[in-house]
Amino acid sequence: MTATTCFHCGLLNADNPFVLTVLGEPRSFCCLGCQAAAQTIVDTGLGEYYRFHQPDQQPVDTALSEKQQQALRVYDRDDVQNEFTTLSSDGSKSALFLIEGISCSACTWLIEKRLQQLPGVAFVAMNAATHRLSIQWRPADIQLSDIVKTLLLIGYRAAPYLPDEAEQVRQRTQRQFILRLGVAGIGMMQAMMNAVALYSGDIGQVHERWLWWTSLVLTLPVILISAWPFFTAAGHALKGRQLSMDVSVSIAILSAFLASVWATVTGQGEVFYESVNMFTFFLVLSRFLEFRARTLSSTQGNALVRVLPATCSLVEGGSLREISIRDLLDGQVIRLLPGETSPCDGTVVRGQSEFDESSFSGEFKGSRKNIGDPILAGTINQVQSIDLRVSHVATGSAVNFLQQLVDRASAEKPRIAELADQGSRQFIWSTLLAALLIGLVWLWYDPERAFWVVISVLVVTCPCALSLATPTALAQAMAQLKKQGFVITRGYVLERLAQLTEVAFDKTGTLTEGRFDLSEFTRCPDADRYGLSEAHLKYICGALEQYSEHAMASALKPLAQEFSSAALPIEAVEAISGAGIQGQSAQGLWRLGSAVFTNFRAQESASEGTRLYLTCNGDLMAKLRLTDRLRSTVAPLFGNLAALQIRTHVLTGDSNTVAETRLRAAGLSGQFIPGCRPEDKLRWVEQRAANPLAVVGDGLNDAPFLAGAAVSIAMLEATDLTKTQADVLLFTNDLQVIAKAIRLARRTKRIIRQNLIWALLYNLLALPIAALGLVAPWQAAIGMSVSSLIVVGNASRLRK
Amino acid sequence: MDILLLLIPVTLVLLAIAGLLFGWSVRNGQYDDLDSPAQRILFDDDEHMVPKPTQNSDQNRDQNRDKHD
Repeated sequence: MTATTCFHCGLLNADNPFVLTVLGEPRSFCCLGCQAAAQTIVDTGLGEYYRFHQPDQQPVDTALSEKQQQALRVYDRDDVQNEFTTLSSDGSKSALFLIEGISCSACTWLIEKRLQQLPGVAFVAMNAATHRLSIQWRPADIQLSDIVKTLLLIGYRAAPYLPDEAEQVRQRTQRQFILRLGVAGIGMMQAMMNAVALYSGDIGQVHERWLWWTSLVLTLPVILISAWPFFTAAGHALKGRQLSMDVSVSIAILSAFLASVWATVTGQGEVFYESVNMFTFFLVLSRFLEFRARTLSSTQGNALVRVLPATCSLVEGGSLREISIRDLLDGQVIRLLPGETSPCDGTVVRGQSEFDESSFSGEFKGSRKNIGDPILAGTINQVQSIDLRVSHVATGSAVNFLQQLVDRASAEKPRIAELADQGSRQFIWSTLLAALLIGLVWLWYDPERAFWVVISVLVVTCPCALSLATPTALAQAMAQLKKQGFVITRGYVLERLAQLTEVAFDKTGTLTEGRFDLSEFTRCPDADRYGLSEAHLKYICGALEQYSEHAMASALKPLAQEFSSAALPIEAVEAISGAGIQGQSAQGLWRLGSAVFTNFRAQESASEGTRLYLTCNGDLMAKLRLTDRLRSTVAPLFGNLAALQIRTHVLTGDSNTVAETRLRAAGLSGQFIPGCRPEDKLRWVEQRAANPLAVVGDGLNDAPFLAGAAVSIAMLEATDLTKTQADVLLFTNDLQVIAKAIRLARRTKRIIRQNLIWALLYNLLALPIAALGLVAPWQAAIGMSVSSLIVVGNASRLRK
Repeated sequence: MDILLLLIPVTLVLLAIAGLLFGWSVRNGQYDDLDSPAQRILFDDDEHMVPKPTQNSDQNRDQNRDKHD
């Protein structure tokens, strides 16, 4: 690990990394969260983790405030637990959790080891492939919230998980694939051993027949278990008057198998059992790899449900009662505590607060809400508790509006995926026609040999190589990209990535980190009169914000820790909603907040980020600037994309245009469009439908935007709705992987083309030779296998 | 070569048993996680598996692990 990347998460470090001595060496970290996680891991004796872990470039966000810890307590309530836990007879409880932040198998190890250290945890099993944690604990010894908190402290987020229908189907399909693969593998090896004996030449007629019959018995399970789904799929395709790859695969397998059975029963001709087995094995393997790459995304949880809380507090005649959101009715009044997400649309009837509407607007600054103001479902209360009159439950709420936009856009997606099969369709037709014609000619010329010549033609022109050419290359490329955190969920993505000419980005949360950071701190001359150094002033800012829940407070809180030696006690801290914060110390009244709040007349013109002012008794002490930092990988990404001759655009919900200069400096080559609503973004994408365009986004507001584009890429932090629309999920914060993926997609396209050319060339050469009756069926089988192997070998070059 | 008459049926029976066991292990969920078991062996974390009669918790842990693995 070099000094320029974070020791824990592997992300490129900012200019001044945090440093901590881990395992005897000073290591640098990108953020306090990663540093704290590393400290915890080493302190609990699990430093071994760092020997094997592969960083996922996902910074740890462990800054747990009191309120968030309170929110975790909700997991300890029985009525909440009843929804997802099961109670066993000895009093212990078990549940399934979905874990976010897993990058490698070392993570699995770390989670299991760390949880096993906790008293009261009876059983832990972590599945690295599905990111599911199965845990059993004794409620008498440990609270569930403590378990979740322990995970948070080492850098993983956990959410209760209930397997749904789709998940069960996924698991069944995976098991079926493994069974098919195993059966085909065993059959292939055994049949090949028999084939060695058969082709050795030193075998008598009778023994040959025995081995034929043995091979038949060995191949039957492969046909019935491993290859059967190809036949049923082919049957469906034929019923729908379509010719799919499955049809050609089925024709090849069945014709070779039936010819072998015919030869075995009649005792003349040749058998191809080993070819049938091998072909089936490779085909199932490529389909399985494709399936794994495709379904990994669904393990990240689905549906909108996780965004919304399962219960809420109903205000009834002055008292509070917890009810399920399913029982909520229009017109009821509910209370929202700070940190809670609104389960419904409504209007404020008591109190005032600020709401995080970032999932709708993409804007992280809180939006002020007073009595009578509307609240949207899915927004988060940030400051203090308010009462809300429910206006829309479920259908008709703003979240559903976004869902409708998404549905519309995805319905309009071009159906390129289906086109992939069309090339082979014509090929199958021509092969079948050719075989028929050749058969008729031979029937007229030499009826004795007609059957075997037709079989040779069918086997030699079997579209094995052709049908393996595309899926193997795609599977290899997808596996390669998956390793780097670029997870493809739809089959057509690689094809489209290779053609891309433009990429559009959302700004907040995609190109930026989506959280505030102190970017500038200026001490003012007045501070001299109080004899306060810059460190003192920073400490005071931190101390003032210590108990605030505001989005900006998290950037300032760490300041108090940097200067703990000469603590200045700050008392009577009071937050004034939407304005700032004030407190008393020996020096007098401190105020930290907007220009209006601190009575300071701002002279600066509009600039990027948010300005705050610190005053003491009305004297200006310091000016602060908070900005949402650009990710460190943005500039290299723009550079790489420019090298690939791809234009970059940025669309943002933020109306501030100052970010443009920074993005231009980083290498933005296309448009910068500020102040976009979700509808505007969708319209922009639709206008460019002619150009192959990829979009990258994260927020709920990006969902329609993503659904409308040729290729959509969602960040890991993206809301679930956005993720369900994405063709690609980024499991890394290193944006450069996008450029890598485009490069690999172009290589994949080249390799697929090579494979197809080779397969067609082989078939064109072999067909006339077989048609003349010069190829013995066993020679045809070898030709078919070798051509398939060459295709598979060529595809595996993509792994490098 | 007539020994084949004996060897072939023996192979087939062994294969059938292997196939059935494989099917059972798949249905039992032993192949659900294809990634982490390959790496788990690399960690030097087996000190607690050295028998220490007084440490009950460690033994429980091992049993649970065995159940899962």
